[in-house]
Amino acid sequence: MTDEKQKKIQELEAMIDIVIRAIPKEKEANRLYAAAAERTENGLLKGLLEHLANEELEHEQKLLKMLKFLKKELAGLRED
Amino acid sequence: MLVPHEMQEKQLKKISIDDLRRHDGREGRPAWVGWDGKVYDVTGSRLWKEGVHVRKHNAGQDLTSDMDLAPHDDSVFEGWELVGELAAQQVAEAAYPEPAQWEQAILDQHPHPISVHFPIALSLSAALFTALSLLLEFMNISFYQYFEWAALFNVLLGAIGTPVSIATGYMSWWYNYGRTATPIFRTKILLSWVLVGLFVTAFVLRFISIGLGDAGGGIIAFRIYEVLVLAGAPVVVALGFYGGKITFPS
Repeated sequence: MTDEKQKKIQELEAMIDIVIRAIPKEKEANRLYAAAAERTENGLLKGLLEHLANEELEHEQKLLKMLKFLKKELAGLRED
Repeated sequence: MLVPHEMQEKQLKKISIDDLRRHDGREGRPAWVGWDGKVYDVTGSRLWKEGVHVRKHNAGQDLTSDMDLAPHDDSVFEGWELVGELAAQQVAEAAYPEPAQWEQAILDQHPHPISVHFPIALSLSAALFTALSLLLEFMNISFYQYFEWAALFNVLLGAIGTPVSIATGYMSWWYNYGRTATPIFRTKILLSWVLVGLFVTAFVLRFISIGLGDAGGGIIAFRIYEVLVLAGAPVVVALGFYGGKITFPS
């Protein structure tokens, strides 16, 4: 394996490491906001919390997509 | 063939991932690509010759995750024939494994952060009591044996508690981190089993040393036992360090 390829693999692994650690944070935040939204009777607060919950869900989805892409790239590099 | 999408939406058929794979654009086959749950026919596009796009992306695949990182947006599909939509389970391919209800109930209690405290505390206590025992023995103070026994009980409890902690760790890794084996997780898994090995071997050696008594073999087994117990401390500190890096990314 060439040094350049090894470096690329290490970079991809480092990126995957970051994404993989961020995903549960987004998931937890989504659940926290969603649970808080369910507990409040205040319409304004409920709307804001639901908005935040949705944003966290979007972040999670984006990270999942990124993870899938990075894993695919890594697998491709290892197969070459 | 260029067809406006609004004219095609009504007659969408379900496309399985296998069906998509068969349309890879090679050897005269049509070139289909999946994006955001839909399948487009890009046959005839000069950018998809032989089913390959910029020598990187292949037709016959769901390219949803690639699109977010592409230098263009999804408008590139405008005008291309919409063949159908991907079956639901194919769209969710990137998702993590879903825990069963009882597993989710356990995960909600965060069992790993709770259970890891036991091996950490027990390993450090065992190493501390062993160090004190060695010191007092060196100073010829007779009650050093009490510390040695305290260390032994910590080793016993550590040998019982560490596999529980490993089990909860695997569960968390499986469901919270999509069982992705990055270097940090590989290191943690390796160190966890090293710790189990240290505890179990130390415990066995301690009883061998009792069996052999004060004979040469017994003393050697006992000294190796002490070294293994002391070695548990840096291993568990390293485990805690990597656990912290996972929990509190910086």
